[in-house]
Amino acid sequence: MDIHRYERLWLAGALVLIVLFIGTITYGAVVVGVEMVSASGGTIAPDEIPNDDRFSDPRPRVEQVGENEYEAYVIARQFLFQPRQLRVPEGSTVTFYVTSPDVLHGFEVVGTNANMMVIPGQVTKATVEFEEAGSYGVVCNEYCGAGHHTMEGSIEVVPQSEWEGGN
Amino acid sequence: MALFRDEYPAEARIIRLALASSFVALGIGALFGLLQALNRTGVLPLISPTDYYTALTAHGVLLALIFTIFFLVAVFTWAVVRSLERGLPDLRLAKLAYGLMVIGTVTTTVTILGGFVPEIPMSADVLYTMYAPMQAHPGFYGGLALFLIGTWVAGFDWFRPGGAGAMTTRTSGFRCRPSWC
Repeated sequence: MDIHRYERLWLAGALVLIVLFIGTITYGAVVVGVEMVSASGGTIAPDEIPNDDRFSDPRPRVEQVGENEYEAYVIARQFLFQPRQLRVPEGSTVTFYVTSPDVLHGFEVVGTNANMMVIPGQVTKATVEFEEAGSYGVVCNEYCGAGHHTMEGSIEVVPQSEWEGGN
Repeated sequence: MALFRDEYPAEARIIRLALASSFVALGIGALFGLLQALNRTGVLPLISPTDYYTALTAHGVLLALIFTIFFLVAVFTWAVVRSLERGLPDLRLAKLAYGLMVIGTVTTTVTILGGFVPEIPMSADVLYTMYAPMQAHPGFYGGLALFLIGTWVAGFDWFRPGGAGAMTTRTSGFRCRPSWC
């Protein structure tokens, strides 16, 4: 069968691209160690969130679970994060549990690689290490409606010397 | 060598219509892009903040979905007819496809633009990604579904057996046409 030279070139180009794309993902997963957010956070019915021990407290909830390990519970909803601000000590490892009662949201710690999708019905769980003290912005990066661009929060990573535990 | 539009006048007409539709979508979509650029740079904020995502949705849907697919359908119709050296098997199907795509586009666009008028209880500010469970007016999805089905009908007609050959014989030499093989 005679295949035109241009068609062969296009086919070869497309195949090379596919190989490169798969290669990039493999490289990221195997060599760089990029980890996707798994479904290990479990599920939660959106209307059960107010009755759930983890999310029912309106105050910022950061719990110490290890020497330098913390758990934080956040509700992302149209168009705010509850709590809006979280405080954690410098050098801590924080596991976030984030869920949504309404639509898809994002939970991105600006300037870091901590970036999760918040799905109604699902608890997104991701662990983040905060090495340096400072104020980190949190933004919603999934379009969620008219007030999407106003949806922001912050994580205050305070120096160990100023940390007085909890919020 | 005869021109495509002389050999396949009916197909050429459909292709012209589809191309024209794609460029109308490109024009309107680009206009909303320009308005946003003027808004975001603060040069000329014509869109009110509450309408920003309405404009963004119109921009995204008209450019990423409607413009590209209308253009693709036009070019593909031309390429298939030219490569196979035969007219479309059934022009009625091509017309039906084009009609469905136009009706779908108009329906979807109306529901999006309805967001600009508070008096009209219609809006579809869901961007072209339209992630559930965020909801737009049902007409938004219905229109896009019609548009999609239109592309299926168009695609179905490209590869069906049948279809008349060119009205004039090509001078570039004999090629095997499906109906002769």
